[in-house]
Amino acid sequence: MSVTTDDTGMLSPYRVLDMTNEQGLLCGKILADMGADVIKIEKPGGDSSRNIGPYYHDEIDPEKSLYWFSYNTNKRGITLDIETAAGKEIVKELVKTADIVVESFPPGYMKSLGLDYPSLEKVKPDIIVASITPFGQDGPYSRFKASDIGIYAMGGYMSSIGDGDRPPVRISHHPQTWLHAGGQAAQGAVLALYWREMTGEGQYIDVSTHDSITRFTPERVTTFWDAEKKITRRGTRRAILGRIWECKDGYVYAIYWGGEAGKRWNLPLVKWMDSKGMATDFLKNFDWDTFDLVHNPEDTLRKIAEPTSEFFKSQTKAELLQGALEYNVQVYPINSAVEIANNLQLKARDYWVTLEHPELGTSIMYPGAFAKTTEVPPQVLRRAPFIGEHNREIYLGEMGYSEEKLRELNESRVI
Amino acid sequence: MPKKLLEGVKICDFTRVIVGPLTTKTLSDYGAEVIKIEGNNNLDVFRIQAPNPDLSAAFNQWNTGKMSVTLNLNDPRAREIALKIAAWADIVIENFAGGVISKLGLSYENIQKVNPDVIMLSSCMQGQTGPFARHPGWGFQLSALSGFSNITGWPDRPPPDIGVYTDFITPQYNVCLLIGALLYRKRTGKGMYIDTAQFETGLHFIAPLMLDYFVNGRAANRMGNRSDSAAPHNAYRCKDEPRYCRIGIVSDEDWKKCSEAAGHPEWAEDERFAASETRTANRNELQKLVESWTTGLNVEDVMNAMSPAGIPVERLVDSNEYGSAGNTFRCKDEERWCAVAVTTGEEWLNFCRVIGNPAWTKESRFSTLEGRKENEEELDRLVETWTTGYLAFEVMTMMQNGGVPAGVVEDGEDQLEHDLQTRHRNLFREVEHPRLGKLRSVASPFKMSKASCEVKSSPLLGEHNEYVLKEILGYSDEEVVGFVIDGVLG
Repeated sequence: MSVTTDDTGMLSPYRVLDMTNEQGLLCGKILADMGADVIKIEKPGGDSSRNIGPYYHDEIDPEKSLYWFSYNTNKRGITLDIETAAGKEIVKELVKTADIVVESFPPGYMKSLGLDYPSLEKVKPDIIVASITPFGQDGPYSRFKASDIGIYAMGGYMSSIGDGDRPPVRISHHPQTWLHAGGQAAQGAVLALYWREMTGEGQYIDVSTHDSITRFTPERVTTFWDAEKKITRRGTRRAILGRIWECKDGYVYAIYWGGEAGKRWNLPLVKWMDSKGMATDFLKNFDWDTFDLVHNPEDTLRKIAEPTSEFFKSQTKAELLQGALEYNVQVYPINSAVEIANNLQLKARDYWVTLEHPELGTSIMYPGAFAKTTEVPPQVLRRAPFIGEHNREIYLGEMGYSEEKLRELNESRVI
Repeated sequence: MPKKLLEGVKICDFTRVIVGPLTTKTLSDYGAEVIKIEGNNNLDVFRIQAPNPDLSAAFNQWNTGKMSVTLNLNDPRAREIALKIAAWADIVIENFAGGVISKLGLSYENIQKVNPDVIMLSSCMQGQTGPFARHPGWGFQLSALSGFSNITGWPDRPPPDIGVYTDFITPQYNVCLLIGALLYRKRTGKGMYIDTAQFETGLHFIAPLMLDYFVNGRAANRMGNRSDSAAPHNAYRCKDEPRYCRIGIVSDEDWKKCSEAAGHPEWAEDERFAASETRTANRNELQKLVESWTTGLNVEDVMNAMSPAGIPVERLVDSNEYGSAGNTFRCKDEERWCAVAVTTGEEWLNFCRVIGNPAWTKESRFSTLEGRKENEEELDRLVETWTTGYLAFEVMTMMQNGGVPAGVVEDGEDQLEHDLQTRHRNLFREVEHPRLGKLRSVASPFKMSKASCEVKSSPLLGEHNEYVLKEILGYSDEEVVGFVIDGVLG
């Protein structure tokens, strides 16, 4: 444990060396939001994740990646070429002051540098090392090349998502799979910290991104194991009574639930439609106790769907969200960033955090703390570091290097 | 020797469905003692969906290794017992809609009175405060609310149902917070109350798109499987996979039932198949006859047709078993897909080599990423002229051996039976369930060198009522019998 100056976060006594790229950044971000001192070690010139867009004002620049901004808040940043002899020594010196090392290099790379867990354990016996890789450290696919879409596919999530007449789809834009791996690594890291507090022992954690996705798709496995059946792509086009409805300015998600329990949600929706004069007699007189999506005749489903569809089309997302609250109905808009940014609940909970970016002459809104707590709450306090922003602070101020040594390291491109 | 990491950590668990149960499953699989409290009028939804509360395989996924206690929380004595369990625990966790737990007399303040350093986590949809705190919902709707549905699917169509995606984000934060709180309590002696909202944790997974909106005014939309930095980048159709089933026909009566269930009563009239011996003798003819029906159907369709007649049908996971006995039949081939992503120039050259450098790959319009992006629709079509010639696993293996990132779009069968890596890492553990027999339950996606993740069976409803009340809470036999008679444990 490092010297505790103040207990301002759940993890404030701990130091983390973050040697991940885009495939693991979320781990350090979670630990940093919980108060750990997270030092992001980048190669000279900057981390590869700085090349992921979108960018601030669309200016393609490693110092303006919004992906980088998002997943490195609260971290400090130093540059270091860990492939050089001097760089390796500096890593080891830093490890002596650290509690956790997180890395996302290919299996075997850290070993080739003499910086794998057994080597670091010699430097700091109770160190915790978490490795994030696409498929784990060993096994038949461990050397496979990874892409977000490939891991999403192999993790089982894609097989049931999308329209039946088109390919299975992933969630678009920035990779989701790497975020899940980062979240799993953070859990492994805090569990290992707990173990260390109980026993004094460090340990090694081997995180598989593939397993991190497979972890949340076992209903496909259960369905297969239990009933030998497969969950396939249904899409929204074929269902007569679907869950995704067009509304005035987009789409809304609403389910008619079956059975007696469903009445609790279905009746108030009809009441709400009736208040706008849009519930048909069929709907108003329908016996919801008998409602069963699988066994009701198609004609019945149509008679439910048609007026509902008309009703949703007459309302905006904002009206539907507000009405859902009023009538206690589970109707939720399919939000884009616009509606999320204006969402009343998030505003009421002071969710968004504004961080200063003086170098850009502006401030930017960020997703705020991932929890509210009565003690030492997680916080988002500081923008992501520039390339080598904390070199002086850490190398000079904390490690006691001289100006001359720092200059040498700069000139020999170690830093 | 790996040990139980969370041995001695005690958890009082009021949660249901996925977010809470997956949080406590992680802790339970690493050795924490979890008492899950349900009531006959307030069961976990997975138990309600099953024919009987103890027959839910889905429930088993998220509740491994926990103890089950049933309490009728409408009864003040049951609430008193619940409070005693909360007093025993290090951690209390609940995921009712905001505010419900307080109505049961189990607010943080009340629990603190009997357990001053308790750590309590409430994990609901939109948080404990604010106008929507009490608004109920499911992962389905929260995935819509927090923006994931809108960026999934095709730009020219409505978004698809993406399931309960955000249900799998929140538990990751919950586990970090609970262990963080335990560490803090160890240092300071102080407990805490934690409020997580599925909405708010979910947004961390789309943070770059929110920043894009705040900074650039751009609201991201669906883009199918496209990527700005890669082409080809899609799930590509592969060769259809042959599928087979085994139909359990033993007696002549079975054959008659099977014929009727298939909608072909005339089969049973056929002399050649009238008796067991003649069916064996004429097995090839019988095979053709039945396959004239099964080849038009998925294995599931055959099961659905036969199930009301009580004729057992099973899927052949190992296609080598086809034809080994007279009772296996080919069904409809299944469509299969493999994801391929080509980002760098080197990967493009590798890709061209793997597919045999056909002439179109040499066309200048495909030689750069920009060119491939411009002609992406045609590119996708051309890629499929190659991928449809091979089975999905063949495409993946050839691509990976050639240095191209590729992955089969796996379904439940693949994940369980054909994915060699999942098997190597022993992700799905065999668990013996007292009522359902052998089940497969998911373990942790990370391996710890000094602690094992042990996945045990989920509990039957109320399985630990006696143990918890007598051994842990110290009630006498008479008191427990009284509770049973009065319906307190219901």
